[in-house]
Amino acid sequence: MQRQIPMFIVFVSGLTMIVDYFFPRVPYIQGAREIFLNWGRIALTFAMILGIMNLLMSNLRKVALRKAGWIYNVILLGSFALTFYFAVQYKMVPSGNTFITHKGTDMGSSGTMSFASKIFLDVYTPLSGTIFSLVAFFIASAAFRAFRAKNIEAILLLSSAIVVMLGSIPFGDSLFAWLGLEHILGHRNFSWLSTQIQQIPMSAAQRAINFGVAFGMVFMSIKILTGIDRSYFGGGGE
Amino acid sequence: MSHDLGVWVAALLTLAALSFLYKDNLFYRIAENIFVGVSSAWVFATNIHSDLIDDMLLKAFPHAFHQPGPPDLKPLWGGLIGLLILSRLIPGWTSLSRWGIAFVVGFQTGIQLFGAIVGNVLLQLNSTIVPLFVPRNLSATLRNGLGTLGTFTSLSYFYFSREQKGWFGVVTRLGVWFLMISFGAAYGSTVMTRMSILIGRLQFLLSTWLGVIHT
Repeated sequence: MQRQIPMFIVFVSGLTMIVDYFFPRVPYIQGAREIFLNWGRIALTFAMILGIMNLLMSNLRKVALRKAGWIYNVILLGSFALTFYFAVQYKMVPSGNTFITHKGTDMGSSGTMSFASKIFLDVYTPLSGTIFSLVAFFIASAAFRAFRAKNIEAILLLSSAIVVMLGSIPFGDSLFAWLGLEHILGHRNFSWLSTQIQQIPMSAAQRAINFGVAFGMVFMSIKILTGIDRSYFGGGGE
Repeated sequence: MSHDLGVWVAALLTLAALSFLYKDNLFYRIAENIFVGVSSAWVFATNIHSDLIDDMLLKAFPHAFHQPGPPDLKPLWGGLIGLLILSRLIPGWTSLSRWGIAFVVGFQTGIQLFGAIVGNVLLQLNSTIVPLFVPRNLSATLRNGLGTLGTFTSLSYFYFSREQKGWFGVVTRLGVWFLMISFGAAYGSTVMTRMSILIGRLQFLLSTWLGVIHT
């Protein structure tokens, strides 16, 4: 029974989501789907509690044992506690430059702002942007070391990357004119060439990859719903 | 130079994060841990508000929140499923958590199954099966022809039930060329997206913080 009941739950909840596609105007089915979606969202938040507890416990353990770099764990725990306290106090939903709180619309970049929105704008936004952009340096340096125009495939990869990069900046179009490529390709530039690459060969190849991914997802879903794949049970003795 | 404390905090955190380009250091580690703490707390608080309070407690107990309307106890079942997931924290109750996980896995799988068919397979097929000859429009003819050729040859590269030799080898080689152009373009656009974000941060430092340039 320890395996049969979860398999039955998977089948019923999955089937409820699928049946709605075949009977879109049947109120009971649509209603069941809406209820299941709502329950799913709520259950996922509880799953998030599990993840957050894991994060907090592992950091607290390192602090308690005074492991190497424990001060960083204190910083993490402190920033978590501060943000959580203020974000829960003010119901924050970022919307452009303003925040909507349960006390009304919070102010934007000027005027009075709640502390929670200040944390979002002055701590989260700059850090996420900077850390996200740091990757550009690492992929650029990795590419410099790895990309070698040794064969036709590598040349195609390199040239399309260069064209797309040059097509995104004004310097690319000036370079296009300076190289005299306008005489060969008419009144076009790197931006045009970049758009053509992204619209024709790139979208064609991406479409092929998407087919593969979609069929993989479909077959994996069928295996889970029918109980062939039971990896979600996890390992363990029970 | 700005006199706003928030701008100073944002600027110093930006510099601390950028310092990783030199090497892993104290300032970067502080910024990194602040980022993990703030982002996880933010996402968690947002979910608690939208899913637990708005979708569950507010509907089940509206009067407790000074809201009008009759109570709807159905969302509490979602909470019960959530509690089942949490039951893995209690020794001996681990098997109960599988029931909650099974519900989440099932409903996500159901959504994903038709999402993949409708969103990926059908829409992509629609874009692939296009007229290969458009009268009096050479550009559209070339575009459609190259698009279809690229999709089929790229797909053929992933067909491993036949050795990629002879005419089939030529087709798959052409598919690899399309894939390489695609990977190159994806690489180029990723780099430029990240660079534009970096430019945004540098503009913030030089304009909003230091006031050296005016944008």
